Amino acid sequence: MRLLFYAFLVALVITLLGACNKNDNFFPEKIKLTVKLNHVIDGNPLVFDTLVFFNEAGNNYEITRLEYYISNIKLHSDFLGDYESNDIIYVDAANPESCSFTLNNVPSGKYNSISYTIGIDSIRNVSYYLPNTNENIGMAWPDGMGGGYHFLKLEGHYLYNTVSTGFAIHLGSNPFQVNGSFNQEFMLGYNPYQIKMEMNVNEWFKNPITYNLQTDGNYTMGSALLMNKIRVNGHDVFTLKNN
Amino acid sequence: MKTKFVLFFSLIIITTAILYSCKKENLEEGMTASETPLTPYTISSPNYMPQLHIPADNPLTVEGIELGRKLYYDTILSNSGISCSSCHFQSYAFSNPTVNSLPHMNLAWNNKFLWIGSEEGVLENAMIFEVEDFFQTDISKLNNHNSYPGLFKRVFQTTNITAHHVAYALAQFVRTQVSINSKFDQYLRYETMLTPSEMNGFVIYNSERGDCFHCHTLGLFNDNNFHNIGIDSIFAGQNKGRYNITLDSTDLGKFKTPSLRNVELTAPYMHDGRFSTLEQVVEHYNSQVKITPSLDPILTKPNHQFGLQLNNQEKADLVAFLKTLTDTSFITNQALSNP
Ligand code: HEC
Ligand code: HEC
Repeated sequence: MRLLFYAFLVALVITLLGACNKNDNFFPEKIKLTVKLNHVIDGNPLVFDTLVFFNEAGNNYEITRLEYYISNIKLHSDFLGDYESNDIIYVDAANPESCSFTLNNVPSGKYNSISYTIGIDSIRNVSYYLPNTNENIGMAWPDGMGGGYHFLKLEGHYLYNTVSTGFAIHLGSNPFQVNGSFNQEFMLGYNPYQIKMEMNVNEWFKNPITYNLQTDGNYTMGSALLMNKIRVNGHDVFTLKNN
Repeated sequence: MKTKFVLFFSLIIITTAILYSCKKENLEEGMTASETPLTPYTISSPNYMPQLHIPADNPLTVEGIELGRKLYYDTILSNSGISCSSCHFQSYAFSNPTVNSLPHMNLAWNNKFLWIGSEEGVLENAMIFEVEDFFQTDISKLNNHNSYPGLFKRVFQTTNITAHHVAYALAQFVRTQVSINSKFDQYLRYETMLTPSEMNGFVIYNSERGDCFHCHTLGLFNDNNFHNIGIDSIFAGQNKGRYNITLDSTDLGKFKTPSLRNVELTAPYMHDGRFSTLEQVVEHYNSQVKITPSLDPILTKPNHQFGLQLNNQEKADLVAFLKTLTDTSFITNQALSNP
């Protein structure tokens, strides 16, 4: 027993010493950052299955499904340099649990911008790359169309000549990976370390291209032209909100 | 400061280690006190099937599965001389050609049960419904039986059988009704080739052309979700579907996506068995989709068209592909038959 105790002590001292060596520059403090994702339509909370929203082109629409992957999240700080996360996060806007995630070992301090990918980079956007959860399997992008995963599923109905008609905005395959960013200063200074990123769904339908479900198209899968319009619009879907 | 911390930390580790070893001893004592341990059973499946979650309070054991199997085929559960197997025939993938029952296969991976999702969560919940509400099993018959009390005691360490135990045993057996050896699985394992027609059907199925994969997801061939696929333009009675549970008009006409594995064997089709052939089902998706506000968005095709506009050859190809999902080793598996 006593022997065991000393063995533990020695092992511990060694690990602790090792840790000290590594953390030469002890500051800034590394923190665990909670990122909350919020989904709105021009400032109104996203309520599913209610035909009350309008986009830039004037389409009266509702959303029945909003799922996507967000990855390659990069926090940029003029002082501290870049913090990059390797995580691929699956989000189902209808499931609050999936709308929050944490980033570990983020240096505390002042940041100037955030960039992110909606989708998955080409190296990892390979069929069966992600763990085979129900969610990931449901996001599979057909092998015949390039394989990997859906980056975005935005589905719903809109009034087409007064008839409620479906639309399915799907993105997948790496030419259509969305690279987005925003320049907004924020401080990770005190507990709780948390930031809130807000997606305005209407940004998918505007800036720079005003996307009209009626004249551009209600169904993007299989159309490089339509997927590209949505991809281009995706660069500014997120902004940072004060908590 | 540092030494104090080290001391404190090692104390914690040591205490935990000691506590842990004590706990293990207790556990071993408990084990020796009862009979020989039950034999664990694992289900292995390819990575195109979702991860399997088995509830911690009902681990699979060979003995539990055998008990569930016996119950599944035993009329003792009902008060009218029928058993589960009276409506769920193995030769039809545990469905029934006259009743529009749902087949029993790969339910281990499901979390919504029955056509309108009256039961959700784990399979145990669905089984409790079957035993308590559907069969209204008279449990005293089991408690007074000459062999069941011994079997339940062995599996669940109980001397008083309850509906809960019956449901748990059934759930164990139903979890082993696994079908992952169809021609299509063999194709995915590079063991066989699809014919040109089957292959063409697969391409239609798994692309925006037919767009079946969004709901009948490859692997499980369902998505654990509810959809209105436009078979009705007005909804009455049972055709209101999921609405009858939620009373939410956006759920009108929505039903659980059925798995398409063994679909060749599970006619008649749809929740009310309205179609008797796969050709009729494909024709529905091709040209008969009814437009209502709750129609699934996926069924509005490019250019606001409803229906797939497939020609006769393409329709035949799609049916040929669906038939590659038949798993003959499943319907002849001795381990699943009447014991
Ligand atoms: C009288 C015929 C009949 C008998 C007997 C019967 N079932 Fe069923 N079963 C059905 C029908 C019909 C359905 C579909 C009904 C629905 O969803 O509303 C069904 C559906 C199910 C489902 C849902 C499957 C899914 O995919 O969601 C399960 C589980 C099930 N039965 C288990 C059992 C068990 C266990 C027994 C025996 C205790 C049993 N059934 C006995 C007719 C029967
Ligand atoms: C929007 C989701 C969705 C899509 C897309 C879809 N299905 Fe279905 N499918 C369902 C649902 C839900 C049902 C059950 C409907 C009911 O019972 O009323 C069903 C039923 C079926 C059935 C009957 C199965 C049985 O056991 O009763 C077959 C066969 C079928 N679908 C084949 C296909 C094919 C082939 C395609 C592509 C052309 C397709 N489905 C596309 C959701 C979908």
